Amino acid sequence: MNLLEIKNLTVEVEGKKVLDELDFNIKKGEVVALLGPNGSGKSTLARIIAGDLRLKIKSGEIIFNNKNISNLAPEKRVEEGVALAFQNPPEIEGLNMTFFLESISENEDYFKEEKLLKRDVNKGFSGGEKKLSELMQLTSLKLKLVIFDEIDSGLDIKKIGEVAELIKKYFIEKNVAVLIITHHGDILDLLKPNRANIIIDGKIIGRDEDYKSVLKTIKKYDYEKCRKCTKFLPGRQ
Amino acid sequence: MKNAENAPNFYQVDNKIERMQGKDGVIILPSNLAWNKFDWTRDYFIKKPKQGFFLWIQDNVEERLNTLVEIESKNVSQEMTNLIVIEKGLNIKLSSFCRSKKEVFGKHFAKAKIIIKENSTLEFFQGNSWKKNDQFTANYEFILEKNAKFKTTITNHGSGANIATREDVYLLGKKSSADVRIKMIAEKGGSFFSESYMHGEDEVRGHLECSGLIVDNHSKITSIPGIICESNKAELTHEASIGKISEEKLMYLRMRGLSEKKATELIINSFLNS
Repeated sequence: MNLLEIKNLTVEVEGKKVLDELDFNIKKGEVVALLGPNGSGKSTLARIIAGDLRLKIKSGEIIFNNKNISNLAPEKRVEEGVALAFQNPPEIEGLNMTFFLESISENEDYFKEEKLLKRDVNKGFSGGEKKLSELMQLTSLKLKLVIFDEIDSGLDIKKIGEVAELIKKYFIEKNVAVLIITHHGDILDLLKPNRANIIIDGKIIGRDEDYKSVLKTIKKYDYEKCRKCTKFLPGRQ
Repeated sequence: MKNAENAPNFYQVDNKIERMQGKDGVIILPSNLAWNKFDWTRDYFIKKPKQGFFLWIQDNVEERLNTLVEIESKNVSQEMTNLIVIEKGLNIKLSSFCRSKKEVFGKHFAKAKIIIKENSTLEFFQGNSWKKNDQFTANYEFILEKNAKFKTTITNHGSGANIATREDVYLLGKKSSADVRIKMIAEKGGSFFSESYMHGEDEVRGHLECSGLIVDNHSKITSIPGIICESNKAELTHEASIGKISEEKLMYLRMRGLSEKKATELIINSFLNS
């Protein structure tokens, strides 16, 4: 049964189609990878699912847990159980991290990186610290689907390992569905997604249950040539 | 704010003084009594004050001193004339709050002189919060003697209020220095007219920063910062900015489950705390 079902979704930004009649779905508890080149629509897809109201849906709909959430406010989507870890979260000077976590947390047992708790939200955080900040926030919520937008970017192999362990412990082992958007294979080897999707020009142009095979094809032929691959047909799920 | 609410050294509600608590080395009096009791205060008050407080700090105080003046009843008009004198060689922390507790059509006029004598340091926080249809007019003068140090944040939150303020920081004594930050938040049709000047008359250093946050389209902030150098040894700088609530930050907080109202509140508080 699909937890998330996106049907025929078109999103335009400044007159340009960023998502183009896109179909996409995630089942309950599933770990799904989304791969694509820069500007392919990955981050837009992540934001539109999480409820960024600055993006306008031209057509199509987003169904989450059998409910149409296409026009739902972002805070209501969190209530429904979906949230996004930002690739580059904004810095909020003057907002203490502990106070913020206390303001949003829906459970007690969430990940806490002690050294960040006394600081302001994301203020002066390194790339790695920002990822940990996002993980603290998301693990404090009660979620059914969590989206990670390039959580592995800018991290070395050791840090990627730490982040992957946290994702496993707080989400995958608790049967929370995970959508992982990435450029790299390292984190996928650690999270072992059930499926991998390729997005180019705002469309899912291929998907396969064997993420290794998808990665291998991308590495061998690059994304442009992938477009012509017949191996990963959109119908295969 | 908590400190002031717990045990303010001076606490006035409407036109009644509810509490006035000095301590060793700290004299607090209503300004009109100070006028009668200490002739020298007349040089600063100029004319006999109707209302307000006189705070004379003669010795170091470990904890932060604080004052709180509120309007609770409708159509009250306060006319405060305050004088704060910090004697030589002290290190003092002081917070001062003025506010209306609800929509009361209040009027608060404040004139204050703060004298920081030779080799003293004052860390000062002034928080003003006024609501719809309130009128708040304030004129603060800070006078720094030789080697005096002054660090302050003054926050003015106008939620539909009409606010006009002027601050003058006079760096009169050699090697005196000041770091002054003025913050303004205008929302719900609030209007600000704020002038802030720093005067340097010797070998002094000072920085003046004025920043404003406009929460909605119906509010207005006019901010006029100025530096007046009367010595080629004075080093004075200023900067000013007025902006709106960042949509990126607002969306980020809402994507963590906070309502638009709560997220806006957190952003406003973060602006005041930064």
